[in-house]
Amino acid sequence: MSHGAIRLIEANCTSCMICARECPSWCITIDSHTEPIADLPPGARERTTNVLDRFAIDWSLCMFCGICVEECPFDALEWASDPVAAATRSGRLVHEIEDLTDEQ
Amino acid sequence: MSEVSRRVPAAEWHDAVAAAKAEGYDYFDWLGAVDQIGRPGEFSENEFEVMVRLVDLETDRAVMVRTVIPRDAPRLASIADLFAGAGWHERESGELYAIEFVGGDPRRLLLSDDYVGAPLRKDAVLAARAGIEWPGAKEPGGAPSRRRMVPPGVPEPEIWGDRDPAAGDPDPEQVSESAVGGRVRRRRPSTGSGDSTGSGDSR
Repeated sequence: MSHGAIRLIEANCTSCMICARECPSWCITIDSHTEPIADLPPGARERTTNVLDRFAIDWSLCMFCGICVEECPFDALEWASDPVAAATRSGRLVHEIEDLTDEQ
Repeated sequence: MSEVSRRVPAAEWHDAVAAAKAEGYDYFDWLGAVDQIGRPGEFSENEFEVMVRLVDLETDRAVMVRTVIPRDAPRLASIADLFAGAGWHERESGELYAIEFVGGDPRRLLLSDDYVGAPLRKDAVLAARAGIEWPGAKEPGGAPSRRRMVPPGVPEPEIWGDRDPAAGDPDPEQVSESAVGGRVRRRRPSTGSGDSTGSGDSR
């Protein structure tokens, strides 16, 4: 496995913020909100779950150290082989959820 | 390979290295330094540790010669006359910790001439980070954070940065605490008014 990019497996992400806090180059941005869990059994107390709104990696800052991949307790990040595509502006190197889940 | 460690006083540094070379440890491996600020116990509060690793290739053994020098007067005899290659390592450690290797080459090796400071000292602050928002400050779920989140490498404003200029220079040991310990710290400034419970500075 070559370290070309980092892929997000969105279903595994719990928005726990661990990757964003461990990132030495501060390139991961996460936005999330809480929603009540809908299908609870009758009588159960209300509980909430975190819902991921935004997960972005700024590839112009990322130094491909892989600490986020190592630290994620839910295996929501993994290495992808294909390198990040070049861009004509640094702002286009900020990849959002739809780009990150697509990294091959 | 058998490894031994020798701690020597700074005054005997050059002699100890020369003695090790005479014993057959005649291959210079590397020389480096560690900022041991805030490590009471093994070290006094304010010391750099300098170590050199020498190898005896004939009999497959190695020695680590270590010494400590005070942070506020970091001077040590150069060993470049014993091992010419050590001169490069001394220039590197010298500029990164602002250690003066007496008798060595005072020129910089890696840093540019206009660089100010000693970046590997633990009280060197990542100043550019103090001014930008840390992505890890947010809480899961986006709720407002009840605890104050401080990123690694950036001290709290009370200690460094947004503080009273009349208070003098920041305490290097308090500044250096931001570089070590847990990534996410919940720490009350130890300058607090006699609050004996405010010792939650571990992680």
